[in-house]
Amino acid sequence: MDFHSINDLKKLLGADAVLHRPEELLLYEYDGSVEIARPNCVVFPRNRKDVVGIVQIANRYQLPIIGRGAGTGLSGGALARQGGILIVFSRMNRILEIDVENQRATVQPGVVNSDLSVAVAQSGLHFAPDPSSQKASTIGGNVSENSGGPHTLAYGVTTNHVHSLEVVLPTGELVRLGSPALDSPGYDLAGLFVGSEGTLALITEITVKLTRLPESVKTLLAIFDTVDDATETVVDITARGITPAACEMLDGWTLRAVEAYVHAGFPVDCAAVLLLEVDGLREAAEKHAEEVADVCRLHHAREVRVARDARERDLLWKGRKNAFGAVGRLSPTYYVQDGVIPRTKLPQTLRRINEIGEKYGFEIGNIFHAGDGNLHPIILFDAREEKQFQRAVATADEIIGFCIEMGGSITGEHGVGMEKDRLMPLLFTEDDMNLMRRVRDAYNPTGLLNPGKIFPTTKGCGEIHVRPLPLAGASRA
Amino acid sequence: MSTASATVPSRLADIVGPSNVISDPAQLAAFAIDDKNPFSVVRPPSTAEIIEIVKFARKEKLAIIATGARTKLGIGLPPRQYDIALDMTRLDRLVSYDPGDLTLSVEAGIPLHKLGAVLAEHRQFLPLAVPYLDQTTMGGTIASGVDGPLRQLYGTARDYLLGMEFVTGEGVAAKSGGRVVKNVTGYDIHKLMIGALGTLGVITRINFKTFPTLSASRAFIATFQTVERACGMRNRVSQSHLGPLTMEIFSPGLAHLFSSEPALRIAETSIPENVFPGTRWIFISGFSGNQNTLTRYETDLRKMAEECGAVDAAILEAFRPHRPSH
Repeated sequence: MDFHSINDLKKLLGADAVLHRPEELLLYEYDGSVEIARPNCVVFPRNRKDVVGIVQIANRYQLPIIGRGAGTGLSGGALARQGGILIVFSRMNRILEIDVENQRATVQPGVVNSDLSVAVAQSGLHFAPDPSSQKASTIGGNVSENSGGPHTLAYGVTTNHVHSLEVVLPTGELVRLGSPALDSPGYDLAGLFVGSEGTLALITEITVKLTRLPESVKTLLAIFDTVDDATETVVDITARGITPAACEMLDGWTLRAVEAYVHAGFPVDCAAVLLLEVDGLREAAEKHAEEVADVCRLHHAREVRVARDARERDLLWKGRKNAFGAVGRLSPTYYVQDGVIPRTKLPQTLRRINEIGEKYGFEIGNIFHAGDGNLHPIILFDAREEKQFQRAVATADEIIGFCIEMGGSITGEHGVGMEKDRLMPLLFTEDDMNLMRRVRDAYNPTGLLNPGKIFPTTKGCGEIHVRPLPLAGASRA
Repeated sequence: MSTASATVPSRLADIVGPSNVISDPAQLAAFAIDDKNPFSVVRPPSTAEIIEIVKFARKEKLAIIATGARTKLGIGLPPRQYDIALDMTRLDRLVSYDPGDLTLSVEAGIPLHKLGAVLAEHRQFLPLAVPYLDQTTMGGTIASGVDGPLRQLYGTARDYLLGMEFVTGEGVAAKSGGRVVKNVTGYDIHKLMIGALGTLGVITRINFKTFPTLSASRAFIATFQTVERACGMRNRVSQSHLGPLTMEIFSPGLAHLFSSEPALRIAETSIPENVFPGTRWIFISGFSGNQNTLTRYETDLRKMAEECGAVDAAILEAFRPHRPSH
């Protein structure tokens, strides 16, 4: 990137809002995935005018532009795959309006997910999407990736909580999509842009739905001596039409790693636990907690513990949400997948994952959103050893192949990004992808906005993008 | 559309067989939109024929409008051009249904009531309490973007639509989304199709999340002298911990209509006369749950209504917001 474009950016934003020295850029090579890509410069806009100005400069010099929140993404979505200007929204972090009566809030994209929930808690409200990264990840990033989280089982993913967006198109035009009301006439463009992984526009303002905090919450920990019993329990709970607020599974291997790190009180001698939560009116939550506990016992749960107070509940969730950090202590590198399967196929899929691990000589940990059928198998490997690395990729591919065979998907909440683009043809035909490419090109005609994402860059599935990382990342998924 | 028009029916018959093409003016009238008849109605049996029909129409510059049960053809401006009605009602199969996963895939022409009957066998349902529930097709419902009172709790179709297959205006079959309950693979193009009135493509298949049928449901009705008070009640409920199924406000005239027209009844039992006198604003809210939950709703709603200045209040047993009206 030449001196002129840097100077133009500094003139627009001030010198303290532009990073371009190699040592400054190092930090921005990464996100939460195993991908690496270095931008040519990093800029920090303060308002929509800055964003428009940056886009105009990028267009003038024909430079790629990539939006980024906190960099906690798990698929390389906010990495500068082809270099260019990385636009970090961390300074656009103001909550602009909280409308308690209509249960909505308007925020800048850099507002941290949990900060919004904290800000509206005194009104008895919260922002329901709760990715495990919520203490760091931004709402702009959540919207771009259509993030999930444990409680999306009952509350829905990010897209179910977005009313409207203000975005800057790659042409520099500022437009509003959707409406702060529940319905708006015309095409559901906001629905299209949410989850488009930063390939259609840069988000500058978001109006989200706020959800009332439940009157009563019951958190249960069901302990099982076999993985099959735990997965059969999830199948049964789903089939009975009970929708817990959350239904997470941790297998024994993961539990031991977590317990050594978090000390959440998880039993270390069992094969699996289910972390279940039911909420709602006092009367309903109590009844549902009993129902859920009964189903667990029916499937031979050794013990069903109920969190006695908020402290016990928070500790259980701390164990869940810090699990990937705990795993990071065990191995130089790990690879987390995000496949989804129909809930009825959970038992056989978990058995198959175990078999695949044995075949390739890896121990695979499983900690995942069982109630949604959204798996997160963790493959531990040492990326410094080329052969081990290739084996890990082959293992991951075989697991994803099985998910698709079961009628599932390659990603439930982490996004395709630059990590799974080569897997897209497993789900979509060339016609499907061409239509999606044309949608992208309609908004992003020069392809300068977040290039090299979602769509396979080469035909076929041969290319491997996963590259070795010296150290494992922190909290994820 | 002059010389070509004469050959359109026979060209369409080549694709779907003569028995699936209508060109008799008397029959075409049933497909009229704003008094404009199409030249032909064609009834394809599957996506393959739809592709051929669209390609043919594109080549001949003929305008196609996809139709289902034809209950909402009046929505929007009169069509600028209308040559072929693409009658989707032969694509009426339940393609797959996994009750244990609470997911299903249907062809666009399936009538909602037919699907509802299958789901009911498994004690499940789709919360599409839409107008014309006893006639309308899934494709028409989605393409029209209509919804109903259950959106209060369940949201609209965009919240439980998982994926879709469609044929584009170029005659290309494509899809987006998938069949599992959580999925962020590729763009959500299917969301654009909701309410697009068939302007972006012909919807051929739709995948949904299903929901367990409601346990006992009831409705609470309160009457108010002014609309402000009725809205006050609405705000009071939405700021409480109650999560009702539905929450509606009727103007005095509409309330009268609902009590006098049996077809518009929303419960197994008729609504008490004194509740719908036709002179007051009505607040009506459905709720469901176990016995303790029902009691809680009744107690809380009565108390709130009193605080909000209700004139009268009643409980309606066997509230049925998601069943056809007969």
